[in-house]
Amino acid sequence: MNRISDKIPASVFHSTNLPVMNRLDLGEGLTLIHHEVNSLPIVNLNFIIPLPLISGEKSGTAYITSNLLNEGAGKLNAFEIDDLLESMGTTLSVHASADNFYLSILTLTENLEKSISLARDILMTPHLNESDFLRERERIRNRVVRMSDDASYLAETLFQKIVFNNSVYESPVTGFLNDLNKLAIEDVRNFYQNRIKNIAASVVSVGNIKLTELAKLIQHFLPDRRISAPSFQKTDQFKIDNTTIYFIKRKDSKQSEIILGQPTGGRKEKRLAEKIILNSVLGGPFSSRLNQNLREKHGYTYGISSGFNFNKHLSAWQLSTGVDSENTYNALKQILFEIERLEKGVSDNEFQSALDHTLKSIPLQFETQTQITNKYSNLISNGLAHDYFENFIKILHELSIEQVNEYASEFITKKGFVIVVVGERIEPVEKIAAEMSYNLKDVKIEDVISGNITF
Amino acid sequence: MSFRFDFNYEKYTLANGLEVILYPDSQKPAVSVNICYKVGSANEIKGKTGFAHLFEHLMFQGSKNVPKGGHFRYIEDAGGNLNGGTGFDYTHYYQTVPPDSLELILWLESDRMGQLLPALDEEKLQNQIDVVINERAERYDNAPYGTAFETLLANLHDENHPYHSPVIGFSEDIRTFTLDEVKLFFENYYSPANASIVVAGSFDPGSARKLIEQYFGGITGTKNIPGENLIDRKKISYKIIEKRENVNLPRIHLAWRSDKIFGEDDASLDVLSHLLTETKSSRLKKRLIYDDQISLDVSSAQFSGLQDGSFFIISTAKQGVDPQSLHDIILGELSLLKKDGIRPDELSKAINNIKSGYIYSLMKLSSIAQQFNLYNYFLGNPDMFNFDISRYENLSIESLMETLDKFLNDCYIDLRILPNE
Repeated sequence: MNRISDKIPASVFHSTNLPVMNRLDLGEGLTLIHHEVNSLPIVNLNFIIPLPLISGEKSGTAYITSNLLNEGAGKLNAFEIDDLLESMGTTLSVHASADNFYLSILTLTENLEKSISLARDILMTPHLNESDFLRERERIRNRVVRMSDDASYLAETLFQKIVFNNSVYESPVTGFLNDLNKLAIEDVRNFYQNRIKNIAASVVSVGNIKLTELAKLIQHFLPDRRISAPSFQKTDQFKIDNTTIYFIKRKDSKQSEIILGQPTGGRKEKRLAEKIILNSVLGGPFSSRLNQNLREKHGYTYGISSGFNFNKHLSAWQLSTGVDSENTYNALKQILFEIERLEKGVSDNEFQSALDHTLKSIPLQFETQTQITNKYSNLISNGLAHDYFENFIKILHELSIEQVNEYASEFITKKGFVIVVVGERIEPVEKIAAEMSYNLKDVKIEDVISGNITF
Repeated sequence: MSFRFDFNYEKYTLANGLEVILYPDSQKPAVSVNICYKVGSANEIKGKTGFAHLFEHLMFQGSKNVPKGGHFRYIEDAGGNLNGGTGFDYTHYYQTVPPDSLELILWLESDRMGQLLPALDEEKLQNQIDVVINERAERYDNAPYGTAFETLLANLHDENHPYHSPVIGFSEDIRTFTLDEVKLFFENYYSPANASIVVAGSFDPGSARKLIEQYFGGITGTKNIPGENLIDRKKISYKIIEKRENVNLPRIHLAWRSDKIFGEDDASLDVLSHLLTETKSSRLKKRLIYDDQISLDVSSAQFSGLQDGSFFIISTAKQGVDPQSLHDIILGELSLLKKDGIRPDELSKAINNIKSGYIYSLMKLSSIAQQFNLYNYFLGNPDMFNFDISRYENLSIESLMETLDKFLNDCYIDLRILPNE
């Protein structure tokens, strides 16, 4: 006997309760945001320093500095730091993005104090030796060369260079080879002195420790960060080439890697909710129009998705996919077809699906200590209000299909796209460029990784 | 670190053979469902590689009451996330949803367990063949060094070995699959008696038991499940393979045959991997990256399955460095380790790190659900979390040295991927 019903069981979604974050101004340039969770004896903590990139700085400076900070600090060399972390079972990483510098700790609570003490040494007394610098610079150069074998890395690097042209976001965080070759230890030491040491910071943490206990530890080990971060320097109005398809020839490619996109507003934009819903319908989750069309209907790709590359100051909307070389032209045609179709708006079902997906998935994004820490770190990193998530949920609840469809023709503008294709065969790209009245430009791999592209 | 897990779970079996594991945790904001079918690429035959993986794709193409695309659509609309995965020994399907959608998941999973075939057709099969060929291109053929692993497997194991071919299979095989073969595969392996389901997170166990009986209790299926192909444990001898590819830097891959999962040397091999390459002060990382500065990266892993295992050491040479020098240094360091032995502090740090990493990995509900299912499959008992940790805690330097001598010997595959000339 088969007892499976043919009726879809109803789901009743009750709430989007978010973790309660406690905020404490510790004075001396430190803010603490904490959520206590006692399910496991661990604490996750992010120490965040705003890092507004300043024009004229060599790309990759923040990245190599972050690599070097835990190559020796206080009385410990790189191996002793690692040994100490290993003996505690603690993970401590230092990294930089375009907008911020992070020191992250994941530790058993019993080792939190020792971990924060080590973080103090790394932040306040790093060795920054020249021999370490030369070794790391050489490794990063080699890493960039290795990454240049990867079609998606090439496509993303060139896309960023074009869409964020002449701004501080145009380079990969590892830096262009041209800049890496010119970097000197003095650049790193100056960067550390002026941009990290004693700069006002925020700490976001989640784990099984009380707010007051954690505050005492932070104040004890990381006092006096009174210097405000330098402000973001606006560059001249930058020009984006959105009438050219850029093609990178990569020999023996089985697939063509495609990125297509354009600049968009940031997280503070007034009509962000409409954008999120429209993107969800177009290329967000698996059920999106693009994935259903290119993957489930035509079998051109293993997957295609679109989304937002949000930075603090400049952002982009983009879609990316790898398609079999034979169908490069067909895939681009279908992508353009779906973008054009979106201008006419979305159906009631699509609107409700996208809204449900966006709203109901929120609690799952706050499941683990690490997820919660990173979510609230993102607020700090992007300079967003502390009640950003609550407000966004409220906006979504009030959103109507009319608002979304009214905005559909503005979401992806017809002013043009930045398009990058990495692959073996140029003929399909020539064909689509002709149909779109776009120029076609060949770019060499060496120029992409060196940063030698000019427009 | 004296932390011990204490999971309050229950396990029982339905009349049709489906094993059920329930782990309620009301503190979690979600419920996670993980179904494990005891079939993987180790069950495939020559000329039909990639079948188990392709079948996993077909499980998302709809079933009798679920339209094509419906499985994803219903779960995404509920705010959930989902996927599947195929390995050598098993195939699993997992989804995490807000608590009120548990019944939806059980309905979806039961519909495809009980009534997949009426919805399958040639069009869906051909579409997913195209998708899988693209997946293979994206993840292997078009990826730098992407086919190294399958080259190693093919040389570590003879043709009849269950782990001889890659899970994704070869394109020429994938293109030949027929609907009749798909149906036979389903009937042979996708039976409740060949599966176990874990429900973990925020749910009421009493209601879950009723729902599981309601949705899965009536599904019938064979209880005569064909087993995996059995291994022929041939002894390999040293073999060097050089391949030229579209890469800029040479990479060396050394591979030994090793122990199966949860075998007596499995945990020792994990620890050896850790103290060889995990941290800056690990033997190979220190030597290759810090002292000699000839390598961009070095990593290692014990990769173990139900019947067999392999141990890998992989390193990428910096520009202008001869991969032979990487090879010689790696082998030299292994000899030193055998001669000088392992220091007590090396062992204790490695064990500490493996334990804390394991605890961190269990923050996520879906990871706990998956772990319950894997322990149940490989060890016959879902609650083996503390046993798993104790495998590492009980290791001694002597046992590690024995493992080192036993496996990391001069019988290995030496694969070098070199830039095109």
